[in-house]
Amino acid sequence: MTRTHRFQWSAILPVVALVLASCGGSSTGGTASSVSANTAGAGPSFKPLCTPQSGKSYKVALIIAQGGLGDQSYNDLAYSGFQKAKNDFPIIGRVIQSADIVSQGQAIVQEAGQANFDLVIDLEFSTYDAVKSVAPQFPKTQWMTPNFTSVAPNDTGYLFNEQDGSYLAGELAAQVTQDSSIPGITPSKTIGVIGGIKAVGIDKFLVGYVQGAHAIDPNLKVLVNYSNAFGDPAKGKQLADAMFQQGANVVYQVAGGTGTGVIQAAQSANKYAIGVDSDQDAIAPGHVLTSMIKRTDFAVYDSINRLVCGKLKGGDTVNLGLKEGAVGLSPMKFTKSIIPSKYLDRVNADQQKIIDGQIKVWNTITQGNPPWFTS
Amino acid sequence: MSGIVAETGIPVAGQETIAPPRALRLLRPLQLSGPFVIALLVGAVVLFASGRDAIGTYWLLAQQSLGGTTEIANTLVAATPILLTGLATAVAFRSGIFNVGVEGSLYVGAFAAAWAGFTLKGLAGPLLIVVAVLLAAAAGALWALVPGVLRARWRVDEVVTTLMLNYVAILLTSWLVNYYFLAPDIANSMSPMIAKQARLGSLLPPSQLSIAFVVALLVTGLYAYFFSRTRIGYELRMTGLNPRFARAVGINLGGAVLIAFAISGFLGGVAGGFQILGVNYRFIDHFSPGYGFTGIAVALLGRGHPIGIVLAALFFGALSSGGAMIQLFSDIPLDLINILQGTVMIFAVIELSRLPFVKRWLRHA
Amino acid sequence: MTQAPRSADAPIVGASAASATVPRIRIRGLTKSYGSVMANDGIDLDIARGGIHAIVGENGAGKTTLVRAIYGLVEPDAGSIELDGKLVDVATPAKAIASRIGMVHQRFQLVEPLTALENLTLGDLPHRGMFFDRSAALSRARALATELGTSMEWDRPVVHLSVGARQRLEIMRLLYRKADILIFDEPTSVLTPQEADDLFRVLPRLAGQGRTIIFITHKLREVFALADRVTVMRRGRVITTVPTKGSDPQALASLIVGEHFERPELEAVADRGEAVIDVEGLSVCDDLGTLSLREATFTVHAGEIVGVAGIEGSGQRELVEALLGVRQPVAGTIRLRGRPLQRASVWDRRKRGVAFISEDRDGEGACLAATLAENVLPLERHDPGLAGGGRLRISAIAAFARSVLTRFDVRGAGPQSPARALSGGNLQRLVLGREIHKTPTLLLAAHPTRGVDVRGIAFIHEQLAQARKAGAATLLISEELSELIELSDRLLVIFEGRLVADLPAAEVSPERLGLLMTGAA
Repeated sequence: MTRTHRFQWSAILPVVALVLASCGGSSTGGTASSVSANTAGAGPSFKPLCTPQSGKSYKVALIIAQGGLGDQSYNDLAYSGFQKAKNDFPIIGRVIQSADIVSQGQAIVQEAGQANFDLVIDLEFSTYDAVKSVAPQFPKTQWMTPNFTSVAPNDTGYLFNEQDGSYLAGELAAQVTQDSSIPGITPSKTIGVIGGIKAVGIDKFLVGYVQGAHAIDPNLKVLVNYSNAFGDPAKGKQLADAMFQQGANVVYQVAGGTGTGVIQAAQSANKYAIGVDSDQDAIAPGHVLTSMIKRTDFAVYDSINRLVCGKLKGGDTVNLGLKEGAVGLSPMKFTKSIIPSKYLDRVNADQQKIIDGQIKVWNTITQGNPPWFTS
Repeated sequence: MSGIVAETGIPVAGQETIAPPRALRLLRPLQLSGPFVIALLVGAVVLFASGRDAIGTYWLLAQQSLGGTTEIANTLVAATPILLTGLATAVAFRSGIFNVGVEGSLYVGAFAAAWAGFTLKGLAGPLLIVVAVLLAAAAGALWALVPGVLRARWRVDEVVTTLMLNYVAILLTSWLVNYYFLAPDIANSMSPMIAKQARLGSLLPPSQLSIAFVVALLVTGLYAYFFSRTRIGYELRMTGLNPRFARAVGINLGGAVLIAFAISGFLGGVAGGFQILGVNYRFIDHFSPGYGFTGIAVALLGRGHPIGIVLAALFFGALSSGGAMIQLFSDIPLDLINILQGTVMIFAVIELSRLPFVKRWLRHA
Repeated sequence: MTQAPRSADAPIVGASAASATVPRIRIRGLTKSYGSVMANDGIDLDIARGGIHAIVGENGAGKTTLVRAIYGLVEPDAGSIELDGKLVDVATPAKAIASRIGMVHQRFQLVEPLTALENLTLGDLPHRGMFFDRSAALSRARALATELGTSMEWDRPVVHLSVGARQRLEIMRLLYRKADILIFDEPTSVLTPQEADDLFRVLPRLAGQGRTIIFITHKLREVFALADRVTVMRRGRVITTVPTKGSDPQALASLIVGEHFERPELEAVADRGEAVIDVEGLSVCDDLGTLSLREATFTVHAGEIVGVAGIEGSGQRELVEALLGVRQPVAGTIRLRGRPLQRASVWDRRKRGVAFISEDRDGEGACLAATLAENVLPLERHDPGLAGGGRLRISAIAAFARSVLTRFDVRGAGPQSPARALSGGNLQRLVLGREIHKTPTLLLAAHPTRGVDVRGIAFIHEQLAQARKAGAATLLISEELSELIELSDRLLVIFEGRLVADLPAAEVSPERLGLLMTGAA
């Protein structure tokens, strides 16, 4: 039977973050500081916070989002974090998939509560309402909702500071586009970014990127466009081609499946794209300058880690950012050798400044769009 | 009593001219359950081959779909949309129209209901619900009338048009929700929530079993009544069984095509509308896992017979709901459920009694 | 199989012949029932080698069941079949073919996109190594054609062959598989007269070569022209088997219906009434867009039967379809009682009393998958008593159907049985009942007696005569010239889409009609 094609959720998922700043949900969990900080490219550290109690095992469910396992993106990444946790901790892990997760979400969440799970991780964004209403009925169960602020006293939200990683991507792009020593670069003061749709959650990336670029060169021109589709590589290619023709040497994609078209365009124009969410450098080696990675796997691992160590309390939201290594630039396996190291030094230095609070990156979720960002 | 309905179901090519022997007729229930039995056997082989306990798994599946009030309710919730799309498909099939576009009607219907739900917030609950469902039905019917008119007026093959229009509907609603009706607080391919009073209340909390299922059963009754007891139903049925006969006795074939498409689309739209009002509470881009397509399997498996359609919908509902739930209790992958579903669907379209070896076996049985 | 007790009144036929030589086929006690209907009830029958054996009987007498049992398509409940004195098990067609029995069905079993040669050799391809040996196949095919005294375009796809050629191909296919018992089920029902003549040349030739021929027919003329012996069946039993020499059609017809039988005399015409239908300059195209009816102009009056004579495919079908309203004419006018009809829908015409007996009973005249009641209802579906307010009154409809079925003597099934349970003749009575239980204004009767048994023909003729008497205007299409001449007041002769003659039926001889139909006069 035909199953309708679903577009990939990869780039959109960051967007679903609830914009309920007034709820005060954005406080970093008390235990966040114990997550060891990382420097650029090193990624987060998957280390148990404690030695698990022997003889006790925990039941953990992972509800897979629309798109299912095998999406080579969001679900698969989260699943890999889940597998890591299974290896490290005494947990009985259940993975729940459904072709009809959108409609069955509520029933599955309900049933999971009924079945006395210790932790239920719900990757499906459309069921956050269900978690909100069901979680309080099962106070013994902890809930985890990535990309959301906490929706219940026993639910822990996980948010990512994608604007910080995007800022670094903007810095790198702004430096690279002016340097003729790098293969394929026709020096210009232009870079580009393509968003999936015009929405605060997407603009969060775009604004960070623009801010980072202007930190390097206030006169730099950043071309901004929206594909209005997350699953349309042809459109992505078309928009990116136009930007390359206008002189951009680097284009950042924040548009899910549409983004593969952006990467293709970079390859055929002998220019550079910047990937998003997962490490997309290998899609067109040498033409993906870097990727702005968001470590959902770490969020999943971290929640289980805290559960096992008795540190998952619920009712608050964990903000994962550069410090935790949960967002950041990819290791640049294919491009590191062609990028002058002074550019990377600048990026690394500013990463530390963001972590230290010396640089404040604009957050559209809490601050709305800045006056200098118009599109 | 039996009325004037011949036990014909969906017209099949190559009708035998000699009545089947009594033995074969008595074995009809067995014949209808054949696809399920074979599917379960195939599933058992797969389970066994992957080193799992087949009986235990089936027992768990049965428990998780039928083992308690909530489980049964969840099964009924899952069966509701496919019962309606199954009926929508069957109306078309029995009228001789291969409408595979119920999925499209479902999408536009769902969108229409969601729109009413988040726009007409001033209306009182029952009124808003009625308006939303009627809008969904109208949208579904209008959508289906596009291939209907093409077929009735210009004889454009409906299989191609309806199939293609599914994708148009999915993309159209996707465009609408992403461009114009995006939820203000969540920028993610979802419409705003429908008004609280537009939600169908639960008949059996905490499940989402609502009046929608009851209405779907009523629609099944209407379906039976329509085809056996109304003139238009009779005309559609004759058109489906033998269009040349229908034309010769003065039945307006073009009109019959339009009516069948409209009813089919109407029911598809209702299915979509109820899914929004009863389960999702908002329009979500690409929300349907293919309810319209499962409806085709339901209609075929039920052989167009109302009771058969209900049973087939319940079966697929149980498989879908139980299949999701058992993953909480064992490490059975969803693939097994997909294998079971796929096998049933394949055998649903094969008339088992026509296979030579089954024929022989039945003769000697 | 168990031996069924022989029914007491079934005569043992052919016993004297069997004492001399062992018969090619010996059937004893063959019994087959469908539900409560005994299709074959203790059949005993001997068929000699090298003969042509005809089987006749009314529709539903059990002829088809009998030959299907011989060919393994029907498994009998009891009884035995011997070939050359040896008991055989022909449980499937494959086993029958292995026993050198072959059957030519009414619907041919050919693969239409494949060529004649490919169809012939299908299932037993001559090959050299792993390749199809075309030249060997072709030489065997040509040898068969010579044996049959006929020709064949071997490289033509079957879909492009005429019906007669397809039938010859079917016969050759049986010979190719070494069949020497050949069974034909109403072989001429699908053939044009010329093709039938060809078949009549082929069959004696095959019999002369020592093969055994069995054929079912309704046409007594064929029995006497071809067969050596004829078996008469009635209600599932063999009534008698007699040599054709020494018998005559009248006697055989009486045996078939089981009582003395006479064709009804038609009353002479009184005054013919007003003009019911006026056709002027009517031209109609067929499905392929070819002009198949050209500028037809004629009138049919109330109380008059106008026959249309012509070779099949001369435009009769398009004429009837244009009058019924299922086919749009390209030119010309049709008036029903003076009012133009071109724009009227089929239903409008039906409401104004146009009745229609289709030449394609199974495909258009009736809906086989629907019940008898549903087949009787359609023209009355707007009757307030039967479907007031759009709601079907089931019991009223059943009562109405029963009254029509009774009046038109439809036997074998009740209002709720599916129409496919009826034999051809009974189904035609049902169609007739539906169309003329109320006297129609205009009756379009296309081949109303095709495939109907003798008794059924008489009944249908009587009904047509009654409708005429009641004032119906009837347009009668038939390939039976005697039927046309007997029933019609006037005859229109159609040749290549044109009406070439309009004659009083009383003045026409079959010979003259034949000449007009073939364009020779």
